[in-house]
Amino acid sequence: MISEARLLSDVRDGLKQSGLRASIVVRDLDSGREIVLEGDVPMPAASLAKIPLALAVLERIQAGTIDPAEARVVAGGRSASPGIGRFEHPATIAVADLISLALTISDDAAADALLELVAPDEVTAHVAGLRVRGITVRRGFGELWDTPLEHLDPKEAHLAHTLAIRGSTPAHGHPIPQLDVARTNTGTACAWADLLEAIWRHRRVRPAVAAAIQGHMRGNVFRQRLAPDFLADDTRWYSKTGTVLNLRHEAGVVEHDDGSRIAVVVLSSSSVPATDQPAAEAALGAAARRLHDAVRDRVIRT
Amino acid sequence: MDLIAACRVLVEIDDRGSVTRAAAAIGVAQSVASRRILALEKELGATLIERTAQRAVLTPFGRGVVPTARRLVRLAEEFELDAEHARLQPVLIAVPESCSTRDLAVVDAAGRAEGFTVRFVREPPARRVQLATSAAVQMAIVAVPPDEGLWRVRLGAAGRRRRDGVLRLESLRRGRVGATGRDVDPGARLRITPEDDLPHVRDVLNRAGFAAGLVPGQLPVDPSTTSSVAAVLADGDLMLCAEAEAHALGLHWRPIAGLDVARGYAILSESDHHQRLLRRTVADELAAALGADVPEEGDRDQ
Repeated sequence: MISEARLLSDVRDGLKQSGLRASIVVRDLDSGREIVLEGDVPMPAASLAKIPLALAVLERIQAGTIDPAEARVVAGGRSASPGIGRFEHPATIAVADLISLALTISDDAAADALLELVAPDEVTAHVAGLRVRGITVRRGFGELWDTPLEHLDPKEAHLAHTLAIRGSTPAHGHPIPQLDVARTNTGTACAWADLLEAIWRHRRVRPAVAAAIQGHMRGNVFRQRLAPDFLADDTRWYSKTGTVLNLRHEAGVVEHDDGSRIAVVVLSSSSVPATDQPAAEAALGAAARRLHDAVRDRVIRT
Repeated sequence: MDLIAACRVLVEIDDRGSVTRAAAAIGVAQSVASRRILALEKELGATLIERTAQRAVLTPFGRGVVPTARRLVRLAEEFELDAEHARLQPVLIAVPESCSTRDLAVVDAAGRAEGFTVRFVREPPARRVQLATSAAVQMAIVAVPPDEGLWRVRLGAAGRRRRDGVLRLESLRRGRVGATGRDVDPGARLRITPEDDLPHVRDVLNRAGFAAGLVPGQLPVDPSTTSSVAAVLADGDLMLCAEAEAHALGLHWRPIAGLDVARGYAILSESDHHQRLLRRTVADELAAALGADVPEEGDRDQ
C-alpha cells in the first residue's frame, strides 16, 4: 500500500513530465473521504463557471421568477466558439434550451444570454448562499475567445501560449484578462468539488434543479480529457470542461453501478506553448484515474 | 648601423687579436668586419683598434667599451632564444566536448606541420566563452546561431539501433494507453546534451516537438554527454547530436524530418593573428573535428 504523500508526489511528478501543474480533488460524495492535490489554489474558471450560472437560472425558474419557455434572441456570428457564436443569423431560443447549450456544448453565446437574466454578481451570491466558498463570477464568456491567440497567425500560436505561460505579473496577476484571477471568473478545485457535492447531495439545491444539471452534464460532448479514463457501461460520467489558452479543466462526478459517487475535479495549467496537447489531456486523465482508484479502493475496504 | 653586429666583431677582435680571425669566427668576409668596426668608430667618434701588419689591438677607448659590448651581445643571444621559445609555445584552444580525441589530434598534427602548435581543452558552451573572455585560453570555438557562424553542424537523432530513413518527431508521441501518469515511456525521449542547451537549438527542437504533441519530459536536458549516451544505451532513448559525433560514440544517426536544426560555431579570440593562423593552417581539420557540413569557401582567405 502506497502512502498518500507518495501517491501525490508520484502524480505531481508524472504531470510535471507532461509540462503540467494541476489542482486535483477526488472526493467520495457519500463518505466524504478525499484526496487533494493543491486544492486551494484559485484558478481562472473558464467554462466551469457555466455550472453555477446554470444553477442560478434553474433555481429562479423553479422559484417562478424566470420562465423556462421565454424566447430569447441571440445574435450569431460573433466568435469561433461552438454553438450560436458560429451561426450566421440571429437565433430565437428558449431559456431552458440556452442552459442545455451552455452545459453540453459549452456555448458561450448562450451563456452570455443567460447572464442577461442573472448578472454575474447574482451568480456569485447564489453560490455563496449554498455555503460554497471560493467561486467568483465576474464576467461574460464571449471574451474567453478573445485572447491574444485570436489576433495571431496560427503559425505564431506558440507566442500567445508563451505569453500565457510566462506572463504572470509580480503580484501573481496576469496581463491577459482571461488568466488574471483578480479580473476573471475564478474557483479552487475544492470549491468546485463543494459545488458538485451540493448538487449531488441536494444541499440547498432543489432536486429538480439538480436533476436538470446532472442531465446536461451527462450530455457533455467534450470527452477528450477525463472521460476516456472513466467511461464504461457500468459507469456514468457527468462533467463540464473548461479550456482557455494553457488552462485545461474538468469538473465531474463518476457514478458506479455499486452506488458510489465520486467527484473528480482537475484544474491544470500547462508550460508547453502549443494549442493541441493530446498527451497533456491523457496525462490529466491518467492522474485523475489514479487518485480516483485510491479513494475508491479505500472506500471499498472500510 | 647594426649596433649588435658591430659589437660582435669588436668582442671577437678582443678575444682573437685579429680582424681576419674575428671575421672567420662570425662567418663574414674580412671587409665586412672592417666596415662594421669603421661604422662603429664613426658612430662613437673615437678609434677602437690600432691596426698593425699582423694583429689588431684595442685602443684604451676600445678596452673601455668592450665589457658593455660583451653584455649587449649576450643579451641579444638570449633575446633570440626567448623569441624562439615563445614561437613554440602552444596556443590553448577551448573546443566543444563533442570533438573526438582522434579528430583533435589530427588538427594538432596538421598545425605542427605548419609551425602552429595548439593544445585543446574540451568544455561546455558557456564555459568556453568565459575562458576566452577571461584570457584563460587564447582562443575558443564558441556556439552561435548557425547562420552567423564559420561552421555549421547539422543535428539529428542518434540511437543504439540502426533505423533507416528519417526520424519523425510525431513517432515519439505517446498513446493514450501509455500515459501511466508516472514517467514518460523509456525509448520515447530525444535527449539534449549540454552542448545543445542553447536557444537556437533547444528552443527550435522544443517548439517542433510540442507542435508534434510531445511532452516536456520527452525532451530532457542532461547534465553531461555521458549521461545522455548512458540513457541511449540503457533505455533505448535517442540523443540529439551530429552525424560524426554519433559514429564516434558507436551510435546510429538519422536526420529529423522537417526540422533543420544545427549548431553554429565561430572563433572567439583576442588575437587576430591567432585567428588568421588557425584559419590558414588547420581550418579543414577543425571543421572535421566539429562535424561541420562543408567549410565555407568564401571565408577561407579573409
